[in-house]
Amino acid sequence: MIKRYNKQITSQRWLVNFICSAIIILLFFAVFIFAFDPCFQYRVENRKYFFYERYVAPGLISNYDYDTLVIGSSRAENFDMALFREKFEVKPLLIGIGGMGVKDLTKLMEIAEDVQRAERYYVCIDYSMFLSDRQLVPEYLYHKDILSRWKYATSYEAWFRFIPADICGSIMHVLDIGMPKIMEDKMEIDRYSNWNDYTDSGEKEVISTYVPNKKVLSEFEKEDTLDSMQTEIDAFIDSLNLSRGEYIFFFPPYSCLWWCDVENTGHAEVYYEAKKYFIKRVADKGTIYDFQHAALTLDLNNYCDSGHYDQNINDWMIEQFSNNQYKVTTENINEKLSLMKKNTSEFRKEYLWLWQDTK
Amino acid sequence: MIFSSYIFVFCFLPITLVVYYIFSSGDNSIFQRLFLIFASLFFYGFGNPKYLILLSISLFINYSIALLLQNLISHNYRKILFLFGILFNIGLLIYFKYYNFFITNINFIFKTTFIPQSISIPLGISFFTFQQISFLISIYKKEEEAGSIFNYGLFVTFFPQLVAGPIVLYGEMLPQLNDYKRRFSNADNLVKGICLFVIGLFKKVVIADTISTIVDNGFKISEIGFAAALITSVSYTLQIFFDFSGYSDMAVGLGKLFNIDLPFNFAAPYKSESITDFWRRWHITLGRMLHQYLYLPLGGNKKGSIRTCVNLLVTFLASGFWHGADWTFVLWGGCHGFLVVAERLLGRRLEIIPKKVRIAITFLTINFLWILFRAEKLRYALVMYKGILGLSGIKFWQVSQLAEDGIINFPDIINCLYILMLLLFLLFVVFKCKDSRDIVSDFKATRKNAVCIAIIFCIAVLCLSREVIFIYYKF
Repeated sequence: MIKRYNKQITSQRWLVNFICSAIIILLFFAVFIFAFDPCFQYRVENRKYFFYERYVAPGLISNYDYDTLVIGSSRAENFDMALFREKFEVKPLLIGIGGMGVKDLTKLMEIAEDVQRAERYYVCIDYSMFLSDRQLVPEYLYHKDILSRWKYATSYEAWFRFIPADICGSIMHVLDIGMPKIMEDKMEIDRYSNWNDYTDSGEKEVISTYVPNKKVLSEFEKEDTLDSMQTEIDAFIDSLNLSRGEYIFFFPPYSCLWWCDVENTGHAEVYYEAKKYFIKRVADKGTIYDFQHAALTLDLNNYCDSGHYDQNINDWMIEQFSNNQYKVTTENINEKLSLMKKNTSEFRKEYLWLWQDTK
Repeated sequence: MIFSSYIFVFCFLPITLVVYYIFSSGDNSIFQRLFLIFASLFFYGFGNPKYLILLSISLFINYSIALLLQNLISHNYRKILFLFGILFNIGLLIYFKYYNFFITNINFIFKTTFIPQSISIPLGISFFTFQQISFLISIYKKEEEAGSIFNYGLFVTFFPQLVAGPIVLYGEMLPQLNDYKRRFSNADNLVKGICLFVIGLFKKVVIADTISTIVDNGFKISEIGFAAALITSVSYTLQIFFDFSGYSDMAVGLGKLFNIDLPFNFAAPYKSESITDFWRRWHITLGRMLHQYLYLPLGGNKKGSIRTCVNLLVTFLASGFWHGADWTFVLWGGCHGFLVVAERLLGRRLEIIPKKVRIAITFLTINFLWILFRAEKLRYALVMYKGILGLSGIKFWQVSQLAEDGIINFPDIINCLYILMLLLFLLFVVFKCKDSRDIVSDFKATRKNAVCIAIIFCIAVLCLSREVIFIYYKF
């Protein structure tokens, strides 16, 4: 047998052997990925594999059984789905991607609307989303055409990262070998993106990691930034079918330190206008919550850095959703903004040394 | 378009190959050549068609000058026209590649305020300009005939070598283009071409792109310690070899598929016993061009020992500057030049050092100098040098950071083991395994190696989704 394989053959036969072998191997790749499916493009099985935030999002939205979709950036990643179930008696799915931009948000929402599983959508709105044109999820995971499926079947990440890690993880799980908590969490659909247990929070931590932003926007840049944010907001809202389900948008509670920082750079004025614009565009079609003027934003002990809060705040937001508190409309937005500015001003007085020191 | 992309491997290449040989059935080879020129231009302009304008202008002007040079009798007119042609090509290169470099330095020295332009460097400009300069020289010296526009067009645009070499001489290409037998498909060449292409693809997408994570992470660390700096520099030494030699293997392999023999660019360069030896084995076609069109016209080694040293230094400085418009490249070229001069002065005295020690010293020296080549600014290179000399401490804990790719964060110990195993394995490959030229020259078509090459190809396909650009595309 080995002798036969080592025997010299004609170049024509070599070419036939090469092409046939390549086709067989590539077909094997496709079948294996279909069966293994680390990005849940064909089916979802909880506690079988690790969940890789950016890579599983389209698959989960397509194939998981849910009626409520909670979606957003790192500010949404710590939502407790058990609390959602308890408060609203729903089947929620959390899709959190750190640093998510509007490109990914739009595409993920499009998939969700296409599959028509969700009756309710909780969408976390960050200003930075509309300033970033980066896409974190590979394009082929958004499509079901044959070329995209082929790219998935032969993707580097699946074969060289996810499959080896999944096999090791599954073996450890089956053999009941203790895995670090962070890896255990990654096998839970409710907790795969949760980072609360792996960061320190408190005033000291926030102050020590705070680096003042030095880039100040010119008047021209302010106009330009607002224009491009409004264009992105338009494109995002136009892509949604707001009549098909219940849409709940919310502005997460950044700390007053974050607001001081964006006031210093001139971004704050742009964000106020962008928020007003967003609310104007969706006010009559969806519900909007604004937590940015909440009193808790003054207390840095709730935060791990100027823009990220700990899980208690996520729980608190769920409480407010259930009590219909902190709703914002076109009528009361100016009042809420004034309150937020007042909070920021109070905070600035108390922490003035922060900016004096950096000078 | 890049060789290591789905569209190239699964669409462009098979379609071009099949259509090219369909055209071989006719009596006239013009359609075949014309098709290959159009395919090459499509390859070049894919993604950014505006580059095609520059390439077409450059082609048209150079060919016109060559025709005039061929037909003019007056020696003075020929000389003026020739100088115009050379200046046109160098001017093109200076404008697109070096304009901002000169402006920045003039502003710095003379405190002027000329505004740098946002000029995007056309792909492969250094390569096709060099090739056209060599063409003009050979026509001027009456070594070659300009030939038909189709031959000339194909000589410059032939897609396997258009963007990053190998830099081919007109005299090498023309006889092959005129050879009737080469118009028809040849199964032996197809087999060798596929083998070389697959080996090159594997080197690039599986090996070089995997190590690039380590290198990129290393150069991002602001206070890098000895351990991470050493690993980063060795990784870059391996990355640039596998990246560029992978590209060159693919180019030679693709040439073979069309029955064109392109010269090999590498001959196991890290097995060199000296820096001089290294430059005989690394980017061979660039070395050949610089030797023929710069070193020899400067006087070569015919004008005494001091002049030879100066000529060598100038040639290496030019080589550095050719690679990029930055002082880091000039310094890198200068250091190599200085070492080559030193080796020349020491002569046979170096031979008392055992061969293995010489290879090790050469490798470490090249490794040390690649840092200049990779660093975007001189100050980043200094950070790395500080680290590698141990002036920032050892900092073992930084090693694990080098393997982080933002997809999965493995425990530190796994990351460290992964890096160590990977580098040891690649060093073994570099020092102990045959290079692609030897693999292909000893190649025997068997069922076993058909399956092996198919497996290597399929593993490479798995890495195509990363689509990392070739390092030498920048030049």
